[in-house]
Amino acid sequence: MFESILIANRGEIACRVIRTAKELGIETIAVYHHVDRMAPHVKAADRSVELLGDTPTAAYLDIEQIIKAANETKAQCLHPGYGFLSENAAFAEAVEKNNIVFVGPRPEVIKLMGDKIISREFARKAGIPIAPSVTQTDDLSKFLKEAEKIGFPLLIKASAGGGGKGMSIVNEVASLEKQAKTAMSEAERYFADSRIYAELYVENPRHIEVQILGDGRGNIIHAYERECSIQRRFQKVIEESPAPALSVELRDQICAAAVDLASKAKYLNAGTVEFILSPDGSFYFLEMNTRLQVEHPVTEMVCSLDLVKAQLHIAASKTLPYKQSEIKQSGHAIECRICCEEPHNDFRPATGDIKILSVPVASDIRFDSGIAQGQTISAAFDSMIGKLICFGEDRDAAIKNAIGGLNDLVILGVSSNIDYLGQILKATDFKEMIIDTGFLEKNKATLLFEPLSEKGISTVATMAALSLRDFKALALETPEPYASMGAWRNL
Amino acid sequence: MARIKSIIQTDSIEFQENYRHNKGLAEELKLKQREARYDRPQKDIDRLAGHGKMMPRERIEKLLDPGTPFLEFSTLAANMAYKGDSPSASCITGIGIVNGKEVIINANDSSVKGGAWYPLTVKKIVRVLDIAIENRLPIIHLCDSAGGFLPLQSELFPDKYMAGRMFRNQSTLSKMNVKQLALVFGHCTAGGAYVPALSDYSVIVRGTGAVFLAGPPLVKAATGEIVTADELGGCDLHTQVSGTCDYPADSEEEAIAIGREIVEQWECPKKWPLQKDEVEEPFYSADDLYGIIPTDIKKSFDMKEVIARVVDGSRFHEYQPAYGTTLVCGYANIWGYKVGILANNGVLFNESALKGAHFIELCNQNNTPILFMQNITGFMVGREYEAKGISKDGAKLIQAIVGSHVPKFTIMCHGSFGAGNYGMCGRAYDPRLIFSWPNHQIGIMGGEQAAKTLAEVKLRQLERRGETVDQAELDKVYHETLEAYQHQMSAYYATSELWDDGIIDPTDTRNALGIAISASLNAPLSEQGYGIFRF
Amino acid sequence: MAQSFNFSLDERPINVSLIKCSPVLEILANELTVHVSSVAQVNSNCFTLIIDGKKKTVWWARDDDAIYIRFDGRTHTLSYRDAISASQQAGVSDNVIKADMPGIVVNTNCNAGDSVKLGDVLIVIESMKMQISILAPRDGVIKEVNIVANATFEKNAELVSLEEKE
Repeated sequence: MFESILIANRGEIACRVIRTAKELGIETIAVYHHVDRMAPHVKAADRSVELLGDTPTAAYLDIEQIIKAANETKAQCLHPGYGFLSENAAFAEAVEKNNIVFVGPRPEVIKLMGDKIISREFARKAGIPIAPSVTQTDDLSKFLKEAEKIGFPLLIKASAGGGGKGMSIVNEVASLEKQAKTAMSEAERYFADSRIYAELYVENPRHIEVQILGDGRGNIIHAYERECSIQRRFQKVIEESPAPALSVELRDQICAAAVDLASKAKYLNAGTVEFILSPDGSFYFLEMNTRLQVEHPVTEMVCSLDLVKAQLHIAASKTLPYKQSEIKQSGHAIECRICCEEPHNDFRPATGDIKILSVPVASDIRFDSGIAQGQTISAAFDSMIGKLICFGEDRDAAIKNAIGGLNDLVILGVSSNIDYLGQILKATDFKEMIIDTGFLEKNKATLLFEPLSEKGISTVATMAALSLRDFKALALETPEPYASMGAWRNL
Repeated sequence: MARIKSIIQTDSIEFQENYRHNKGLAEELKLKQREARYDRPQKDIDRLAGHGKMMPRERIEKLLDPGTPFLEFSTLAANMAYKGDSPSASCITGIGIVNGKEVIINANDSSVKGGAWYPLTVKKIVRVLDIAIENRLPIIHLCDSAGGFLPLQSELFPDKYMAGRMFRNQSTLSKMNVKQLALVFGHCTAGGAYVPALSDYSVIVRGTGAVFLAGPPLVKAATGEIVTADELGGCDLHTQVSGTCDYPADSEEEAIAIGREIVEQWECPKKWPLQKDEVEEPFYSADDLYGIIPTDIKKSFDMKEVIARVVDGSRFHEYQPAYGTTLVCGYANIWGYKVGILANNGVLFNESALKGAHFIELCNQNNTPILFMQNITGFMVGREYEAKGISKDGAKLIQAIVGSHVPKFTIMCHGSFGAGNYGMCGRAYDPRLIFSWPNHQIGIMGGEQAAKTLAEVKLRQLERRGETVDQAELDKVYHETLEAYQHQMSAYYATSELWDDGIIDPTDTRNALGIAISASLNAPLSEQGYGIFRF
Repeated sequence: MAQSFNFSLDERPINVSLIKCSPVLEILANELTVHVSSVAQVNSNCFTLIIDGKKKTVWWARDDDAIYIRFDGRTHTLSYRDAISASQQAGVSDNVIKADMPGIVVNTNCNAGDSVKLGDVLIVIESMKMQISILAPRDGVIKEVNIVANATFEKNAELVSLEEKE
């Protein structure tokens, strides 16, 4: 096993990696930008190196500085987390060139899976089902014509894309050209690569993904599936495992497809193969994420695994830590992504100081975060600040536990989606497993709170008053006989 | 302690007549108080609002802790003086609660003639400062006054208990470590300037607050200097240059908030530990008091029925229940506080006076405050009683009162005549607070008695001179005397002259006493000591 | 008329005042009477209470004028202003910043027309062998800078002035 590890990330995932590394007795090295100097991931690490940068994000994306930090601290391996440089092949390459083990797949595989068009082609050749699609060539009119043949609705995506950027749904031929052009310019702007492709848009689709682990020689095991259909603008909001209302046969088919794909790619380390599942039971390859996923904890909970530990094991020994038969799925886990945003204000990102942070503590509740009370949430980073993952014997129990967990998770001072997440879990459709990626849009009306009643306003205002030192002193410390006498006047 | 067994028949005609009468008196009191407190010419209300000022009572309400009582003193002071030009004697005084602490409020009423001090204003302020001294209560001055009412200067300025006494009392309070805070909302002119100057803390409102020994007109007359009030003694001058005031405030609301925060800094009062039991509401309703008090001053009633409607659980431990029964003595609790009560059930005989004197000594021995409930026509007269030494027995009662070291309180329940007033701790005997009921009458003797006496004197005068006795003239003497007495004997006249600390509705007695007792505990018990009793 | 605490919720003003403290708290909030008992502190920012017969756990936080209240899985944001303004306590009364003592200007950091924030260093002066930063007493716009670097000035000299508050 390694003696030291540098975590080229921040926030909750950096804390997550540090936790397991510490359990394994590995010296942990954090990197940070000035704004994060007091952040939990810096405090949690054994050592830390400051990264300079015009913006905080630029610092965490600075390959040269990070490599320098790893060399100077003699880090034996490097974990990229997710986001930032985690799926940057050039970075993985640079790491390896410096004789530091990259905890992740080979750079070629990162490159392969990073390009939507090439990866789809790879999947098609591997015999994995893909949705009928057409790739943009130099001839835009030909592309449009062929796209039209697939039928509507159509989904246009950026080839180099991710995170929903450059993605749009085309409902009719009339708007096809215009939307294609918009998507191209967006793709150019975000990814400096204007290539797009169009594929059949599966209506009322579900998002199912499979966690896999590979040894780089074609041996692949999977840790079952995750359902990530609760999304807002292609961003996952709530994930769970196992996927509700999914037959064992279909689940096995999907897992087999994922293993097949990863095996053909001689995939190394942890990865996730994402699929679109149609209501009719057909499923299509969506993409492969060549890193640890945000939602990995739900898999860890139902499979009793530590995926970071597995990643480090693979990186150190190039062997798989488990046999497929050792991985069992039991119980149900739900993850809620905690974001600083304003649900009642079109989910505008929120900034401010975390004045109060109180986290539920229970054996079947896990709160993965990189925040601390007193920390400032700035617009510099992603609005997701943590994840609440709750376990239950079955799905109903997990939902109940998660509702309680959200209730007990208190973040005050900066607006968050905690209450909104609670509303999702309480929604009838969610409980009854009527789920697809359009869930949040369809249930929009019931997910936001009703305006307070007059009595409700009185209640809130009373509580606010009781939070004030002065009011509390008057209400609770007025001496007798005056407290009992009340506002008596000799009229 | 056993509960008093009431034998009042609330459905009797007498009860109902009494009830109507006394309820009417209470309504009349409320009406008069409302007028004194709130009825102001519109132009005065507009003038204050125009200066961004609150009405003085509004300031007090904002200053006090919400949901706590305010015991106002002498609302009807000066109600029969100055042709009614000085309602409440142009100031508001009382005990209220600020940040949980008992404080005295002394507020100028600038809605009346600019808050100018009439002679009775000075008397009322001196009295409230005396209350502060006697009870060691911190005081908050709400200053907004034009100064002395010049046409009546001879009645308010020169004498021992006139204007100078206010500042003497403020200095005395300071010497006793009793805290004072001045909130300067308006002008503090001439003597008034000493109110904030003699306070430990002061807050002044920018723009409207000003403190100066002489206002702009007087300065111009004296030296020719032309200067605005703000330049002469405004907020910035006093908080930045002279240091006469401590805290600047941008508005009255802010001044009050700063004032409240200042009081918050004050140490909690160390009260002496009076025996206190769990509070119990009286078993009998205070509302019955209206039906118990007779319509006629000459009619008697059982004071134990009154006690039953004031004290906790209507419980009363009677001392010497069978001896000297015209003076009821015993222990009870009010708002939990232990008190000894002396209440009149008829004329004072030798035995009643001796019993009272002895009971007062017991209360002092036991550190129990004493409540006097007056309904007294006087000591028994006649040869038999003189022979038994009624004068020296009455003297013992007076000496016991004066020698007391425990706080004393007096309620004027009905009549207070002659030496009975002295024997039952009248105004001159320093009860910490003394309140009257609206039916109360006070005088050296009853009106009819006085009229008869004077008519008798007139008759003898005429007879001595050998003149013919004209019945009409005698009747005239009788009626004039009766009328004059009735006018001056009324509770309203008494309170106008500040012979008491205010008229209260009988049903408010328990609360008024609760506040009075609680506040009294701020002053440590004085040394015990009696004079020579004549046996 | 009694002292009341003024909040606003979604820009709607709400008054809260106390009617009575015992035996249960009677509070007038939003013109409705609310009964409260058994207020118990859980920690510095959490208390439990029985409000109109229902037991609630309330979390709260304060950030300047904002008060956050969270109970029953729902967070509310109110605004509240202390009765005493901060500028008032500092005794700031006008728009002119005067020198507290004579000295020499080390440098000036602002020009007429600049927007400044509370606490910004406007000029640095030296007096009695000490450098002193003159800070903006409030947010505002510089009206005039009356001195230049190396200039000497006397006590009460007008150094910088701010535009009138809006």
